[in-house]
Amino acid sequence: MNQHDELQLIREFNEGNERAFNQLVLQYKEKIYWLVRRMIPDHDDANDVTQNVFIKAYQSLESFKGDSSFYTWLYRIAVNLSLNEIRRKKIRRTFSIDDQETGQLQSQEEQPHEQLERAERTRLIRQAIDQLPEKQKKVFVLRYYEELPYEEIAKILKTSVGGLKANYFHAVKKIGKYIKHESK
Amino acid sequence: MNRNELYGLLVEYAEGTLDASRRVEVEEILYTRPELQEDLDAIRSAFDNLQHEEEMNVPALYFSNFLPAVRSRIENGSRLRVQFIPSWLQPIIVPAVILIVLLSFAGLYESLKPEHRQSPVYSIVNEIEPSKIDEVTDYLAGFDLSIPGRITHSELLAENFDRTLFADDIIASNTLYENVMYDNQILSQLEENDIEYILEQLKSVQ
Repeated sequence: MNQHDELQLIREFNEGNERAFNQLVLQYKEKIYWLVRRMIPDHDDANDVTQNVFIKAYQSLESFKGDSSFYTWLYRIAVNLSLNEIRRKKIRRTFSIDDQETGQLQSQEEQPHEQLERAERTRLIRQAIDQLPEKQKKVFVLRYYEELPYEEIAKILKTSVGGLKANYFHAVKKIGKYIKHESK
Repeated sequence: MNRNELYGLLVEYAEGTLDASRRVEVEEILYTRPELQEDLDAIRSAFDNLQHEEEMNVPALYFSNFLPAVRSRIENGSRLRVQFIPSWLQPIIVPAVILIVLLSFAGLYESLKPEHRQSPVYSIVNEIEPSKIDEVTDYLAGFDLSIPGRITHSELLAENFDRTLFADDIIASNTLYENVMYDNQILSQLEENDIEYILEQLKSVQ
């Protein structure tokens, strides 16, 4: 589906064709889910946020002017809602003593050594990403996992390419240092 | 080359995506600025670890069920704006709702203002013939009508007020003025039970 098709679907939706919106959901559900999931590792939370992204899009599509591409607009909603959820979870986590990460690790104790090592490495990576400042986290996810060019990320986050390069550099460096420190 | 460009180059160098000439350029920079080597090592270590990251799991049929789940949530709560309110009306609806909310708060405030929160006693007292209030308050409070400076409820009526206030025998001096008491003040000094008793008395006289 190209940009022209998307604009056509948006027009149809705004004229009352509900099915046009379904087409947009089908087109982007996986991309948005993975973008959100990279920022919010828990599936249930990521699912809630992903659904909210499309509901927000449904409610706001009338105001979509086409200044940016639809997917840039949708990614922007996804990043913002994910960050809101992260902030909300951080507040909740402050008052909570349960540790999901430990639970995940324990559940894999019975697995072979290599798998356990991989699970541990994954746990550290996710912890490291989780501890990044918000700006660096969203740049890292969009660049590393979504493999978007800096120019595209700049449109989504409404920022400069130079600043993004610096954010990505610091994010990756911090992840490397965190893992090294925690592995000792 | 500014700092941001250098950061971008270092990352690409670690990823191995630079062409030969740019690689040489980065190596020259690293040679003159050895402190960057530590950053580069951390970046390489991050990429190495990230390559071995486990795939995240998604429940079976999750993506197949996604659209119905979203549609269900939309049907349950989000159709109103698009379906029932014409787009031209929406800019009017929002300010109107805000106005209604503000007016509701204003109404709530009015109803909670102190005078409205007075006991039923207060409103009944206001409706009673003033001379009777005077009689009963005098009776219950043991208040002497001849005390200088006293202004009765009747005298407080607008037509009498000026004359009473400026009469020489009432405001003869500051000392006398300090003694000025209104019947409303007397009522306010009485206990609730006393006022209710007064009301009973008044009802019986009326």
